[in-house]
Amino acid sequence: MSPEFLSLDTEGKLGSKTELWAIGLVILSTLIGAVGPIMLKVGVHEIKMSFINIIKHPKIIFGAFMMVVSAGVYIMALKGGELSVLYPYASLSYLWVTLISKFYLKEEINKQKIMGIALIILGIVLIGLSNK
Amino acid sequence: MKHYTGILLVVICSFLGTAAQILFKLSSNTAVTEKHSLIDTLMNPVLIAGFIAYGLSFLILTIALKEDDLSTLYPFIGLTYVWVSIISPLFFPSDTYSVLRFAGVAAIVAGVSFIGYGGKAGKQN
Repeated sequence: MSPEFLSLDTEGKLGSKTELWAIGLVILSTLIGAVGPIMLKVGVHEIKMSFINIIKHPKIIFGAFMMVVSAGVYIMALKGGELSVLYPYASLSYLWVTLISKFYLKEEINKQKIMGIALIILGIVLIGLSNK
Repeated sequence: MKHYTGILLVVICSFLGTAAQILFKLSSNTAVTEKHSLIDTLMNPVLIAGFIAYGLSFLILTIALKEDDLSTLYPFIGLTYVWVSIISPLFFPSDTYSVLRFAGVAAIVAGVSFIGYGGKAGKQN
């Protein structure tokens, strides 16, 4: 690790190097994070809707927990590189959720949805690049 | 109208997520210094407001998911990037607008429009 790797500038962004492990961690955080909404979706159909029923359902609690873990892993990853490089990888969560929706929840994924996901990922990549 | 209840709720989630991110960033400018203990940092009202916004967003997302497919609703969370891109430079002068950023915003808006259309088309079949 070079010294500039450790130095924070005023923006809170790190030096110019993006380590491979940081990219790996971001991808891991998207995989963990994708479990969250899946658990919420499965859980919410098992309860009668009320505030108490939402916050005490084990699957919904587990989903929330995975979202928090995912955010923690993501923040760790941000210490290892530039936001503009890591941001695009974070957009993978939209791909995972769509794939799991299709193969696990058996939802219909049509051409419009595939096109939509591709455009959202493209958009996040462009916004990430604009942070350079 | 019932058709769009889930989508509208997730759009509200994206507003709350945007508020949370702005609040976190605002709190990080003051909260994390060597003088402050972890407790002081966590008791920062701006940071707590950010967590409350995320908590509300989580609850509303859960309610929304009862209304529609996950593959239709979840992508709308991506609108958070759009609102943050537009609002952030108003709060943080070092954050600027650029052509690239607006191209990204346009792509995401087009993307969620496709998803909304695809979701509706999927239901009618």
